[in-house]
Amino acid sequence: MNPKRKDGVQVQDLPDGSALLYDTETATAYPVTETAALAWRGFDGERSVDDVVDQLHARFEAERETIADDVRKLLEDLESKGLLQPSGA
Amino acid sequence: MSGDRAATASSSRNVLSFSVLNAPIAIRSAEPRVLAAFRRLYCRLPEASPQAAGHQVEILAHEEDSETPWQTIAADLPERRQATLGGALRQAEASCCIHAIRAARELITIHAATVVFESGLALITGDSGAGKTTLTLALAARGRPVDGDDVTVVDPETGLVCGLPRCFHLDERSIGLLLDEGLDVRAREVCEGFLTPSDVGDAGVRARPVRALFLLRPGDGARPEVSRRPLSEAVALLDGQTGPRYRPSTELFQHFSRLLGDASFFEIRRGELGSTADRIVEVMGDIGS
Repeated sequence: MNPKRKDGVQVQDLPDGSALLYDTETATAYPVTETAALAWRGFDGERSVDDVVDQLHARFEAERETIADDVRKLLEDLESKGLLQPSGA
Repeated sequence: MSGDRAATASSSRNVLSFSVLNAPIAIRSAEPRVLAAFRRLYCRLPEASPQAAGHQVEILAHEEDSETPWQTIAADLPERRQATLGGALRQAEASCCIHAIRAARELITIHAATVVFESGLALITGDSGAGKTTLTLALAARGRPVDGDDVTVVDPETGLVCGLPRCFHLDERSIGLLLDEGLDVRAREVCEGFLTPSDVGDAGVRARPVRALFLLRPGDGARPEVSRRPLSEAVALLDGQTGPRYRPSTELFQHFSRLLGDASFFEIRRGELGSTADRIVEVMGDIGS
């Protein structure tokens, strides 16, 4: 199951590339880094986690394994905050 | 009481009227030191017509009461007398500030100090007791003009910012630390601890762009530690510093994003007062170069 953003989460982009994810349902804002903001946009339900990792790897000068770890942690974090569509939804 | 004819300000000579964040505020007192104090506090703000309906604050002296002779009267204040004129002044100032903020519905107010550098404004925020006031005055001792140490006002239309002048609240420890920094605040205050931005070189309360936001945190060393943080964290932080009137919204975040459009965000773990102030001056110099 490819990760998918929850509906109703708005993104406010900041000039340094970071972004704020604003969950309109809970009126809660979550700041994310530039890398996390790019990954978030990749979680469209169409792309796999590997696709998103590849996309980030092409953009940033870091080991693919390091990026994969970061994406895994980000997914856990987003899931714990209720910012992803539940699996199977 | 306001009906005490002997003590009540009775002529226009005993009234000062200012427009504070566009809210007319009148301060009345037969005591010249009261008017002198507020004249210094709001000297950069436009005057308002004394006839304009607005917030009315009066400070009375009850000479028959040797224990608590001073009384501040305003619609939002409980009836409680003060032992010192300084106490009555601070109570009156707080009442004016609260009224102005409540009235300024078109503006956004943030809990932060506002200090002017060549490169633009530095906002300093942090929890109450983090040391914003002392640090702000240490920057004033280094020649940096100060709008205020508590309330920053954002015009959402322009994204420009200025500080609201407030009197500084300092304890004995802070006064001692500032003396070490070469700033004898007691020598500058108008009366009884009522120290205003104009007493330390105010900035003129002119709307300017923000170049840096500093989040002041406690530290455990002599040297301060500064780290640059993503602007998204700054926006989330500002959301928490606006008070209950502003609910999180896409529109509010857009305003903050605009406010920080040309700014950097730093977390600063406090070191010794002088080193911390020097570090901020250094960072602002780097931003400007």
